[in-house]
Amino acid sequence: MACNGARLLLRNVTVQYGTLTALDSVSMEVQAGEAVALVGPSGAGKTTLLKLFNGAVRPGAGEVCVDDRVLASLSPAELQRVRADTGFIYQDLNLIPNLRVIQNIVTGRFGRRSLFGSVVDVLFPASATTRNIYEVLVQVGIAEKLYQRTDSLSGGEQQRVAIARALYQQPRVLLCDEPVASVDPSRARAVLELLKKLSEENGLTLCVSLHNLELARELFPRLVAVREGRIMLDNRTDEITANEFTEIYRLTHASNDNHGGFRNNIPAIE
Amino acid sequence: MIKLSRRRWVIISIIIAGLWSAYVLDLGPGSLSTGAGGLALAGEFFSHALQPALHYESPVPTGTTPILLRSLHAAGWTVAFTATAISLALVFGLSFGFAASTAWWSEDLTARDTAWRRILAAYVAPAVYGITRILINLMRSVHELLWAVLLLAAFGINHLSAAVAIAIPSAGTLAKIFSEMIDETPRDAALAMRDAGATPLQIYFIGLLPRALPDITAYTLYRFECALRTSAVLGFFGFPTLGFYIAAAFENLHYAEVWTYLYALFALVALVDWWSGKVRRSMLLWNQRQV
Amino acid sequence: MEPETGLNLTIRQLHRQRPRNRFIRYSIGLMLGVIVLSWVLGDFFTGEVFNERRLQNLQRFLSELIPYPLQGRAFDWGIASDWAQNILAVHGLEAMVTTLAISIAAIVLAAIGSMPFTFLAARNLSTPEPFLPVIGKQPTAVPLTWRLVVGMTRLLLIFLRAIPEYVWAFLLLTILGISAWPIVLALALHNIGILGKLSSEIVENLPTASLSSLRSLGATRLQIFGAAVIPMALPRFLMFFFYRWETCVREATILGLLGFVSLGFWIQDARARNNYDEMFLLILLGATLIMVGDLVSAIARKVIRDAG
Repeated sequence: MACNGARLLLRNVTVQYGTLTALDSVSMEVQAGEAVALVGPSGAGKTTLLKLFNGAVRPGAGEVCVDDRVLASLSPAELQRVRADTGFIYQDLNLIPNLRVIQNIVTGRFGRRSLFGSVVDVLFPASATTRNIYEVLVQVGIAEKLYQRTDSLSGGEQQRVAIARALYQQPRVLLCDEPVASVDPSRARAVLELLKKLSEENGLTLCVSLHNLELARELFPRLVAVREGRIMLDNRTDEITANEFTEIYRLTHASNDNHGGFRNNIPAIE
Repeated sequence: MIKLSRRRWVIISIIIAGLWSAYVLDLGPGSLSTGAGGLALAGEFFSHALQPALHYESPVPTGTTPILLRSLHAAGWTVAFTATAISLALVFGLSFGFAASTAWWSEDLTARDTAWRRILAAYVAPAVYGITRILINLMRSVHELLWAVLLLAAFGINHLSAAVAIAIPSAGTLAKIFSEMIDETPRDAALAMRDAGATPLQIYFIGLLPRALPDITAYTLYRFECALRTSAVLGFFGFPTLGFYIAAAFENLHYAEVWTYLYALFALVALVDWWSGKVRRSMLLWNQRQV
Repeated sequence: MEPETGLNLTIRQLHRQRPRNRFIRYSIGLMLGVIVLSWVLGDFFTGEVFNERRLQNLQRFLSELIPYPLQGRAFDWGIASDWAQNILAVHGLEAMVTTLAISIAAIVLAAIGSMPFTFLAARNLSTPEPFLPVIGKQPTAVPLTWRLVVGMTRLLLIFLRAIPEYVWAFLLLTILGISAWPIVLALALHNIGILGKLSSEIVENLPTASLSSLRSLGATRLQIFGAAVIPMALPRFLMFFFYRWETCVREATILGLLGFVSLGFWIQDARARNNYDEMFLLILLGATLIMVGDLVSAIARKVIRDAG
């Protein structure tokens, strides 16, 4: 079987941007329902790796499998359906600043709606739709912000809107690219615990990239360390030795400058 | 060093062009007033600037509307022509703006795998884009008043021709600016929608258009103000806007009345300007002030 | 009907309390109202738009657009180009050159003429202490006279801008006689209003750090203006300059309708003689001139933008 029945699979995948090799012959397997943390310095290839799983990036060599099917063999319509089943939370959140929270979240299900249906959803959402979105917002804890304009929320709240959008999509796989990079450490733990809890409740496969090794180690049962486009280490957290941790720690912090300067908000429109 | 001299070249060319134009047009201090009224007339005209007429300057038949009311009436007509013209221009401007933008068939937002999609992206869409752009340029390159001349010659004097004459170049400009605004909108949210499975049209209408809406509104209001002035000028062609009364009063040498109408036009433009400024500021700030 | 669960009530309440921009809503309502009223009350549909007589007129008009020597015959490039060249030679080309010259003279004059107004209308220049850095609390209150200067200048600029070029030209042509000056002045006056406002905004938005340090070294207003403000503001000013030049080309084309020899004059002349074919060609020439002007302006703006 080409895909081994795994939920997510990479086999000898290489990705190159021009002369730069982002990923070099990488292999990785994630089973359904697992929670995996990707750690490593910035620029190591974590984002590229995540983007392979929803087809945003195509491999130059090797195979990518999602839900037991090779992505490259899918027709565009099938790819669109796979994408509708894959949720992605971006480092920069990628929300539309001047729409209300409910409108941003409703875009999560556009993969399954017609053009007319999606316009109706944004302008005149049905009460069932509104109720569903409200319940998702309750899960992330900002239910009262349902009708607020998205750029009037704080950074942490916008983060949770992005999470809510991904959850509303009802995906089977949730990919998160540095979801807590621009959030202060106390919040970061709360958000990650929330993600873990939600994925357990909803039976999602979770794959999160982090550069904070302590949090990854504490919260995730499996760690994959990426460095310069290669997987350095892929093991259950409780089987990783102290030396290996020190090694990963050193490399993560050697090339990570302080990320404290990250902007917290999506810039408001001029 | 190179950067500086390129900008300097632009300035030097401007100066040369200016001198050339002065030569071609024979613009010297001497030719400033070649008879006709002369500076005396200029003086008399501008002396009325501070005393615009509040009543008619020469006897008028009883029952004529007072001048202030008449200016209001003319201002109303000016607005009426502008409003109809802009409503037409908006409808066509938005449609052509869609056809003239590259965002709904651009590389990063569409899949190009099936044969139909490849044909669409490689031939149909660029053709539509190209034709629309040419059409828009033609629409924009003929002045509203020239469109009016053409339409009046073709259809005779009627109000619809005037509105359409203003609408055509406005629609062209709106389409061009709209397409540029949408194409230049940040595409981060659009990419997120693509990754969640949305189609290019969904991405265009919900991922890009709402984000560009404040800028689109601001520019539309600006065009409204421009159209207001053109509408006033159409009065010179016989339509009941402010220009008509300005021309009539001037030809009757009622300079104070001319200033009355000029101030009416000034007030109208200033009002629209103030209001559109308020709309723009309000769109920017309203999220910080919870109503 | 919907069950009145607690959830529905909460959502309904949130919906009621959602932030709404009252002013925008009223404005949209006002605009729609004005548009509808205008269409209904504006005599736009008097008579039938496409009745028999109108259609005949239209057909006649369209047939008269065909170049005269070609009417009623098969199309022939030779005849057509001869006819076109004739018009160009007689006055077409000269009118195009005149139109171009008018546009350039007007915009250059406007740029020069707007500088004193920029000075007066920019709030950070038109104060007793220009470019004063704001240290901590409130800036020193600006005395009334300065505020009046700024206010009056702005009012004047709005007035210059509110009166269309055509109206200025109409007035000035009678006062100053028929020559190039009234047209150029008319265009220039209107554009001083626009350029003055735009450049005063550029000056007000300049980063004040370097400017206030110059001030604290004792430089006078004029010195700061010449040495620091102008270089910093120049690129954006040039962009506006070329934008407005594009409009000047358009306006210069039609100001001839009033009697001075630009393209507009010959268009009016051809129409008066019922030579619709010639009129149409001249309109197309004008369009070509405008398109070329737009192209030149786009290139110039690109050069300025790329040069930093």
